[in-house]
Amino acid sequence: MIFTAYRLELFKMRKRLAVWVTYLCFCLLVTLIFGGPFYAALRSHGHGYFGFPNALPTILSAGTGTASIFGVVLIVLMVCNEFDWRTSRQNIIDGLSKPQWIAGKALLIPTVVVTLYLVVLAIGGTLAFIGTAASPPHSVDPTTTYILAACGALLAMACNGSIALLIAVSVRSTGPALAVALIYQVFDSIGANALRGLHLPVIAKCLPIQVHNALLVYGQYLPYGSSARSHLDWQTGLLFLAGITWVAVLLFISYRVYMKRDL
Amino acid sequence: MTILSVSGLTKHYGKLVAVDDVTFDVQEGQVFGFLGPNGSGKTTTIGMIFGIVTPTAGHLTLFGSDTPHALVQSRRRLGGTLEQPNLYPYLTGRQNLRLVASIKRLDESQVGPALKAVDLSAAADRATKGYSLGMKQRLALAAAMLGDPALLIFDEPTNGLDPEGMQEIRELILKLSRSGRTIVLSTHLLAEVERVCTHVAILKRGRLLRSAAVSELTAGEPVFRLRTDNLLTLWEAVSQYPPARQMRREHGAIYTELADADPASLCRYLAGLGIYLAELTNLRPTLEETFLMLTGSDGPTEAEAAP
Repeated sequence: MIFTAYRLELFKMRKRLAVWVTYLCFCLLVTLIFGGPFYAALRSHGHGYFGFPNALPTILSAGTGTASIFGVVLIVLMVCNEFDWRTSRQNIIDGLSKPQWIAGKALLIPTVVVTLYLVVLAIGGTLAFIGTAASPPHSVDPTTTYILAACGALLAMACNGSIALLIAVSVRSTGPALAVALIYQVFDSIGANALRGLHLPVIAKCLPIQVHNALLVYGQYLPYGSSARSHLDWQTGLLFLAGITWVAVLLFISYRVYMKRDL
Repeated sequence: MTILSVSGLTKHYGKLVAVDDVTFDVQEGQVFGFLGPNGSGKTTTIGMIFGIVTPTAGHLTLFGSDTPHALVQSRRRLGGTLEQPNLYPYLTGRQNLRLVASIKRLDESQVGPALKAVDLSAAADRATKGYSLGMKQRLALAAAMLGDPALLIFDEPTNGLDPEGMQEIRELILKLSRSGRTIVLSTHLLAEVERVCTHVAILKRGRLLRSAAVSELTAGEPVFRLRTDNLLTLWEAVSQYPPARQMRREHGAIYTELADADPASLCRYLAGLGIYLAELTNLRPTLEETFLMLTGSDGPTEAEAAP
């Protein structure tokens, strides 16, 4: 039945114009993000860097911050409107159980995260493919780095998506939920600075948005000892563990909040 | 067979007691009216039956099941609406029903006949945000009826509709009730209930005032009002009529109860004496009068009145 709930979520998503408009805006933004270096590479007369494999670090990480924000927007859109329209309660009346309903919504997170990242990879990859002729290879990182960076980006977006789900089921109204999600990003950063001021840097770097931000940094996944990662203070394994823990905790709290409140 | 049994159901929202110790049963085949003024706790009670509102206290048995897990399974045999029609505005009527059919694990081939049953086939492929409220209510009824659920619960299905829309929905519910389905209908429109329901529960401020068959609620001793040209002759004739009792004369008419509740016999008896009535009115209390009497005062509730 959870699969049915998920299938219904995909159906609702596919039929919703607002979702397509959001994806379209995202495509335009990603094109703009990659457009700059791509254009510079074309004009560099063979000295640009936006081609394969030089552009891979940019492709894997440059659009992910934007993707993460769009992920929040999509999750909030897909969850809050169910409360606005009272279709959430009607789904339960029609026969879905509350755990199935929230599971269907939770499964939207990986769907949104993967599709947004695929858009980033597709647009970045296409431009890099075109720009490859103008960009002689000069730096190749280990394949593990590329894979870890991609996994880190997906996990970071899932972390932000889980925050969005928790906010959406708590606030239950699209506009206020988006505002709370935005304000939370600021509060998390301010909180982290305050904790550092109180000589609690370990707690500071473990806050959800701090973990999210760290996961998005490509340099985090370079081999140990490389100069680009010297200033980064996370061990990759621990960073992934922190990300996964936050996703699990946020999903669990979302579930509890949804189950506890009447519809 | 008892389909739904509610016992001591209570819901508190902080200090507010929305539903207070409500108990009633719905038997198979009954059309059960749930009556009460606005804010009397009807929707909250129905929300608890549907499982979208968690009771503070009380017991609920649905199709013989009362454990939380079994209730989730039993609720699959329910169909219904709560307050306004809850539809996806960007989906068409057909897509909304397809979605409900998927949740109920039904074949999508049932969607077409359901749309036809509520006369929405022509508008089936339009987004529901363009529907009138009456069309939305009809679509919600079609969604509730998908899969032929054993118990249908409609909460204020005619709310906000114009007289024509109300008539359409009333006819639909009447059609359903004639097919022998068990229906719970929450409303504050008494004419609807009197026409459709076999049994009613009357709520006020979250408390159950009365739960009984409609016929029982309106069965108080019938009083007949009689008028004719010669009131004195009529008085003497009626006083000789054995079933007549509790006679009184008021405002140029005679009021009497009839032990046999048979006004036709009285007419025949009077005609035999050469008395022809200008008026014979049965003053049996209507459901509306009973409802107003119960909800208009702060009289004892059913629980308080019990010995």
